[in-house]
Amino acid sequence: MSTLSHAARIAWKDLRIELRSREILYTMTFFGGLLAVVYSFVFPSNADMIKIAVPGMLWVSIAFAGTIGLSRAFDRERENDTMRALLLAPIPRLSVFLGKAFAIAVLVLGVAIVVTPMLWLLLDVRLFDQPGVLMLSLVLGSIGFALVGSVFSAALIKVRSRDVLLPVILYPLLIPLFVAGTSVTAGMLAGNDDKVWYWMGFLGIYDAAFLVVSLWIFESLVIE
Amino acid sequence: MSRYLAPVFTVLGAIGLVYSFWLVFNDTPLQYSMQPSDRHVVLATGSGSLFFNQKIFFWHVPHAIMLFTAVGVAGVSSIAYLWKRNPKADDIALAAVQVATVFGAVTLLTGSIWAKAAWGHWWIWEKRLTMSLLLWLTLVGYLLVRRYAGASGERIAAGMAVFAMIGVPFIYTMVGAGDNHPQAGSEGNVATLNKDMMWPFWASMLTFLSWFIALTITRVQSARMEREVRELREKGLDSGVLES
Amino acid sequence: MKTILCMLVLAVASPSFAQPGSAGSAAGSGSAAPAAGSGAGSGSAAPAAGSGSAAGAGSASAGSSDPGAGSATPPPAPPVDEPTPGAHKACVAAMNIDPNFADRVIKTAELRLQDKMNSEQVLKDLCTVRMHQESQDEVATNKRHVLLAYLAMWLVAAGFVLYLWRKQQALKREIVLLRNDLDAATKDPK
Repeated sequence: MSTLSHAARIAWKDLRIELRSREILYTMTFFGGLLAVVYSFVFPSNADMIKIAVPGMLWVSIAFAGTIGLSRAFDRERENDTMRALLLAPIPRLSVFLGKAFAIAVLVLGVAIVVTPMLWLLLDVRLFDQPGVLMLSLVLGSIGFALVGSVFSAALIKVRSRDVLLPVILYPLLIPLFVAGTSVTAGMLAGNDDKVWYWMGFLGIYDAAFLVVSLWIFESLVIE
Repeated sequence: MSRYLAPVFTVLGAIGLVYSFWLVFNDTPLQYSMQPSDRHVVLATGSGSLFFNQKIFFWHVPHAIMLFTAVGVAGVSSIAYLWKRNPKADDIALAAVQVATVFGAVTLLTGSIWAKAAWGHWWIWEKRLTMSLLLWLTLVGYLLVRRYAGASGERIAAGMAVFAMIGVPFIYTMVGAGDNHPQAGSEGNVATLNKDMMWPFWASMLTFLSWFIALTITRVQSARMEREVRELREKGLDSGVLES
Repeated sequence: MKTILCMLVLAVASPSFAQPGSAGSAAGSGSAAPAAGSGAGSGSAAPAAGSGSAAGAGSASAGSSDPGAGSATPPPAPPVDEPTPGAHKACVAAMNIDPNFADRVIKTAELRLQDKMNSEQVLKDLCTVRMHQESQDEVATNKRHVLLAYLAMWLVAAGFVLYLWRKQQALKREIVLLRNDLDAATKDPK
């Protein structure tokens, strides 16, 4: 249990820093909102077509804004060279990983919470008909994104072209996550419960599998 | 690794290539479409449509299988590298990924050409093509990371390979269950293959397996030699014998 | 595209094939032809209906010709589009009265059917020829695609072999450089 409590402490540290400056939160969420506005201009306002495209819009916004927030969060660690301090601290390295991943998941969830009402407002799509399902899918998606993203973002801290390499690494690995997320959202919009729960299960299993792999790999990747 | 392993497999592959192509173009019957509704041409003779382009199947599928095999090899050797930090494992991983990229490119190209010939589009979201595309993107990402990520590139790329290997079952489930894209007809399934075609298929499978082994071994040897030369130079620099 | 058109034409014209077994009296088959042919060409509807109503105004014959005519003529079938309400009844009455008239009506209907069948055959032949041409083109195209795939495979394989060969050459040069450096370093009287 001490691993988890250490992780919670690290997560709380990150979130508290974030709450003080709110830099990443504001920029990420504003970027997500901007994307929603761009979508409403870029795609024709034909109602049927929009309904088909909305799940994709939501999850692509999460992907882009999440990547930006991820690289910014770990930049903070790099600027102050706190990553080494964290790794040297007498706490299990796994808790460092879990803490940071949890903090990033919260930030990504924040983006989703901003983008979803904007899509609902601008594109007139009934995303909030099943709020429980929506919330669960966003939480699971954020967790999966944060897990894989934290592993590679932490590994790329000292690399020169990390800004462009992070999406190059992340997106192919996260495609199953995005497919599952869009399928859940699309099923929710269409009222197809079977589809929703099938892909929700897929999301859950994906998160579990990648949690195990991340826990195992994180240490190998950040140690020199 | 023995000196003669790669040449032996190359020769085997070359012989197999000639034999399997002769088989494919001489012995295999022309396949008739399982579902004439797949194609909008139904001959007035009423016997379904002829598929000469089904021959592409005989080298498209072995390349796809070799792609998946290579990804598996890369994943396993990446795990070994991350665990023991044995550079030999890293050599194997790099070689496997490069060979996988080559086989993946052939799979995608031949699959695309076959899609154009059989269904009229240059790209279809068929199971095998989709999986190959996603894997290929991951492999190219691996190569980019290795080249441009500096000193820690090997580790990060190894991590990518492990994640990719774990992600393969998810991709497989996803392309099977996704109803976003139309699924292609049954001409591409090995299970539904005509009995007469089984032996040519296995012959070409063995051919490309030999070719894959030959390429991988050659590339591993090359990578190993590169590393040894690099280490020798570094040793010379460290001991002051060499001046940089 | 042309093939689909051929198929459509055949499909629409084929119900007239299905009629002979179930066709009604001469008037029935006379009016069945316009009904089936209305898809292919509504021009034939007017003359057939016109001859039916014109014949209906002809002389009536004795009812005794009926059993004889009954075996020659198929049982009456209701017409699909009746120009005037009493035309069918009048026509049947006219045919019952005058067996010659009945024969003439039957012959005309059969001739028309024969014509239709001939044109069917011509259409079918054209369709077959076109389909054969198209399939020949396709097999030729398939050959081209197979060749293309074959080429793609060889090009990619050759590209990789080339890449390996260049790496080999670079390694050889590197080893030569290393050897020279080592020789230069160890030969130095230090």
